[in-house]
Amino acid sequence: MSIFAKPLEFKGQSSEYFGIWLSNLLLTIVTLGIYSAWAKVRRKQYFYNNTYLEDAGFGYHATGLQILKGRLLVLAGFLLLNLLATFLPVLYGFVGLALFFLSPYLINLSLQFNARVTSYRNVRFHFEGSYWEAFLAYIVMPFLSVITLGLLAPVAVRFLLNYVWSRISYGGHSIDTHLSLSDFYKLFGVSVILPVTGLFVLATVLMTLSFTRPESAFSDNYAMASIAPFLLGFYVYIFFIGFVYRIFCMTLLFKGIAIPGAIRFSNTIHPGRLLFILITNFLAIILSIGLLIPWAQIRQHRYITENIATHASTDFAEFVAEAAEKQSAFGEEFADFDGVDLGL
Amino acid sequence: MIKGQYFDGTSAQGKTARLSWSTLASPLVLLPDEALSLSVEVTSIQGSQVFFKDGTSFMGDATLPTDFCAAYQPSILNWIRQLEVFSVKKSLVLGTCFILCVVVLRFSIEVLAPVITDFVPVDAEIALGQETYEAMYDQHFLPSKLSIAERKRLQRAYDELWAVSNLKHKPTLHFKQAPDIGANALAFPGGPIVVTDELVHLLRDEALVEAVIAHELAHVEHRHSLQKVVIVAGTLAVASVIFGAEEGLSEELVAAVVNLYAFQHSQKFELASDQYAVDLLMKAGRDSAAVSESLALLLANSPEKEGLSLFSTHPEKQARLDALN
Repeated sequence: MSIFAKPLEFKGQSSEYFGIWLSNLLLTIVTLGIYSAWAKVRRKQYFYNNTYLEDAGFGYHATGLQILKGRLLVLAGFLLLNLLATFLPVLYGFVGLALFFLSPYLINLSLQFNARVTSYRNVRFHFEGSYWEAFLAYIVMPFLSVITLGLLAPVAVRFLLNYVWSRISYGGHSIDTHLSLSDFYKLFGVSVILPVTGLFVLATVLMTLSFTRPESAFSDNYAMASIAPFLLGFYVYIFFIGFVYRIFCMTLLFKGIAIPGAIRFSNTIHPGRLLFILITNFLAIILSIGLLIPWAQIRQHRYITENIATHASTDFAEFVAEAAEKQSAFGEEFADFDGVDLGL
Repeated sequence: MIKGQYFDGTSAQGKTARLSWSTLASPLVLLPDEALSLSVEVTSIQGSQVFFKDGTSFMGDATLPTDFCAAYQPSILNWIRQLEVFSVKKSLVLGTCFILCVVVLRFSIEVLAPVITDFVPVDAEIALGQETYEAMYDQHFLPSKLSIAERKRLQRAYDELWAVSNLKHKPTLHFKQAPDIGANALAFPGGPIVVTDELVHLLRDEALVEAVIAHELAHVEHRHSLQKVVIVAGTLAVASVIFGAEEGLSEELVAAVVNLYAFQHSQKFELASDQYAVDLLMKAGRDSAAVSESLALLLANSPEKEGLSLFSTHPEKQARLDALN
């Protein structure tokens, strides 16, 4: 079987998306937030529709109402928990515990929903979750990462990506994942450990040099005011690292997933170039007071998609034609599934 | 007539087809090879793809004509699509409308904060304040070393100030040593009020300490802590509603900006409390100049660093002095 390499294509344009973005913002604020659910659908549709694999764009089929229902459910859950915590602390403990054990199920429901509302050539994706694997991926592994001070973080991230992607199927064919643990450790070392260590060294030096506590400060959080710029910088920096790490994890993912016999992916993303794009995007957003957000999003999405190459077999069309029939047979149980996006 | 591919929903393999349409009826899918025509109801139009109610879809070879989209989308969606079409003029108008909305919402939150706070039972506020005080107690406070006579005198002055205030409940007044906090006075939601030994030592004159206590009583009476919670929560809610649909760095930026806003916001409560303290001292038959004197003394003992006011919860003391004068 011969294999062709072809990059994904992104046909979106900044000016086109700017109009959508601005309209979304305005309608969201005018409707006091209600429209944000529809705005999310519109935004996702724009990016999905304009991302092309083998000359066909993706489809996104969630409705604003489904997203809104999901958000209201989550909000109601939080309100209930807060009320219980205030008025019935004993019951709060029980409900909290129940929710804790329910969370893997809810996460699976959300992943299932997101897969189900995504289509390619009018065939929907499918996600089949496992409660205990989700429990491991979303609760046990992050906990282990924390208590080992991040030592197991790459294992946890790999486990999570492996869980989510290996359970997605298209037309009855599951996605195979071969994610290299050493790659995740290298990435973690370079993109998290190194910058965070650097930050702590810098912060220690700066704090020693400039932070002096006054003798007195009636009704004036003087100490807080002195440390606030550092805190703010630290906060933005940490989020930036987290953001960069997430993006690079996705690039590793696209090196290691495939649908056997049909398609596999590779990427030509250059870490330096991607980092340059992320940093300049960040600066552009700040300097334009947010006006360049659409441009930055399109630029980032375009770079990533156009540097992910697909290697489809010559009989790709035949594969999807056959696969779709399988999907339609076992997918019937979900035919009436009208899920909600819990945003998990 | 639009050229493209037809997907029957059971297979991802498209069939060459044409889409015939008019504004009067559902579009007609023409499949030449099978000599079949299907009249199908449109459920969604996404880019060059049209999804039908029977689970089938059509993918155009090129962008779908605007007239076609207009004919098969609900009128509200057409209106939104028109709004989304980019032009510099339209962007300016929409941007201005957006900024106006943000400004209106921002001021609405400030105006509504006292109204919303009124709905919170005082008992709940007191419980919250007590809980916060207890949480801080072990970490920051030590038993006071002020003499019993000194504490009694200040407590008596506090009783008199409270009597002329509009507070129905009487917050407890605590004297504590607070090496971490230094010379300070704190008002927790609904009370209690804590005056540090360090403050009493620094101000020396009890009349000046009373001025500080009057200032803290103002915070309790006007429920400033609770109002701050409402304002910050409201601002965060508005920000997350507006930018919640966005993912990525912009989301983190918004959170940072809202935090900065939270730092700044309570400054106007400080000015209001200074003024209230002046009024309260006058009502209690005391020298109202003690407020500005205490501020001046504190200013002399803790010179302000320039450029930090942006991050401070309090306005610069010089600004407070100017406001009082």
